[in-house]
Amino acid sequence: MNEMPGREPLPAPTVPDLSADRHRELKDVFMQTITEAPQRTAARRRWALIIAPATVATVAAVAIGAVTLTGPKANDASNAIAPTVASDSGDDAGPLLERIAFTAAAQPGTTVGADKFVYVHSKVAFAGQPKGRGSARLDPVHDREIWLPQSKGVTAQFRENGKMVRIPDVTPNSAYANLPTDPDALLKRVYKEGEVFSKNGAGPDANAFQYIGGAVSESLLPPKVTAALYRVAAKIPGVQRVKDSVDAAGRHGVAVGRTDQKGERHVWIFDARTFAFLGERSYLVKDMEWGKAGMLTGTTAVLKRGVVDKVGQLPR
Amino acid sequence: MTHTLRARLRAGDPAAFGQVFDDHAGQVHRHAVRATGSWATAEDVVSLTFFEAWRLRENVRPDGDSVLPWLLGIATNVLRNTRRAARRHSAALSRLRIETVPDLADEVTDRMRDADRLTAAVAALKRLRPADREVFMLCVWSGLDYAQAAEALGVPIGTIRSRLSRARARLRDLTEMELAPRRGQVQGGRIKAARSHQEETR
Repeated sequence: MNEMPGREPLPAPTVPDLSADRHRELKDVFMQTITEAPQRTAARRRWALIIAPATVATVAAVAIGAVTLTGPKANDASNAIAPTVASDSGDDAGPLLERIAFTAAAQPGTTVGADKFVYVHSKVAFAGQPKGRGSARLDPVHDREIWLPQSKGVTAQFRENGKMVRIPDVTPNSAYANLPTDPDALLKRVYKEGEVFSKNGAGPDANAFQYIGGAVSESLLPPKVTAALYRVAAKIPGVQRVKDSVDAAGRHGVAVGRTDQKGERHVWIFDARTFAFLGERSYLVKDMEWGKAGMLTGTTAVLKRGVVDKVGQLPR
Repeated sequence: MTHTLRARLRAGDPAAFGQVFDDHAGQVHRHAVRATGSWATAEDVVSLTFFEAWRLRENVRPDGDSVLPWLLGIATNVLRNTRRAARRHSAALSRLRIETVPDLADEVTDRMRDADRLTAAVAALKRLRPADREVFMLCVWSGLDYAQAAEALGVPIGTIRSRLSRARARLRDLTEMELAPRRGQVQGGRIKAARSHQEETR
């Protein structure tokens, strides 16, 4: 196979095989996930998907529930479908992002010690794809808490649905917090970092936008870095203002978004008065094999961020 | 036969995915254990890899032999960014009972030596640049040839070649340092110093 110049400097360490039992269990979960039968008829299911976050978000539940009875309208800002699903708005997001950046820069910063963890509590739901030709299904909106280490080499943990999951080799908070604030350097950097997502086929601009989304959503950044990220986002081609959007907690706000080349739009939502980051939302803008235009593919809402000494602790 | 399998994967045929799981989950798992040094994490990586494979099934090349390179490419991506992948597939992940799975360190004594070696190997790998480490793991530990590694990572064969030779050279340097006369902790410190110097200058 490969020519081997002498002995390998580091031969593969022996590891025990995955046991037959665990193989079966892992396979069962995988097969269940991809073959899960839809629980309702196709027509209802699509709306069930889109309404899912609203039924959990107590504030908006009643109002949005009412909308579903009359049927969604593409221009009705209060329904869970994207208000501008037909096409991109064409509105330049630049002025709004500058406003958001300006406000972010003026916030008091929080120092995060090298041995500390950043705690972020959010509500999230993402769509999975249950069947070859069937529609994707959105999880129920649920709580997510993550303890992200400030420093490299420390294991992060997150808790969802009562289960703690460890993430060794996690990208630490400092990887984002130490990003350069020089606009040119940062622009180059976010494209470079965005290459991690290149396999998704969404394109380099989309990947850079996604990287910034990840950097601002689950992290605690110096205000200058946050501001620089939003200013750089304004330079990514195709980033547009979205009039109104709603996060996974039912909070409405101003928003900016970008439609990737596959036909999925990713939106960041900000409080309309304070310009604080509220959450993200993504949805299809054209019919795809696994979902129709307007289908929600992800929704999040950041509820709390703070610094703690160790995993499991909550910020005061 | 293989063509048919790839076509079925692209079409989202669950039975084809079941077959691929049976054929390759073990190899993906071994790759993940060696990459992370953690038994429990490796199981999550296996699950995430297959969920990602399902999500990205349209990206399977229509022709080619084994789909293992494609899967290991996805696994490499998952290992690079476990957090993002875990976030996307959290509902499915939460169905797994990981608490029943011991970490390697907790296993019985006859495995302790293997566990120690694994820990040492993982530590040595960490000294490599991430891109070099990925190529080394795919080619040397998981046995892909240059073309398969190139397919897995989506880079030219020449890049695989040069990353692999850089990884080997670096590992030889490290081995020599290990063998050099030493006392207690001093040697670890030297390697660490050499590494951080190299990392800062790259």
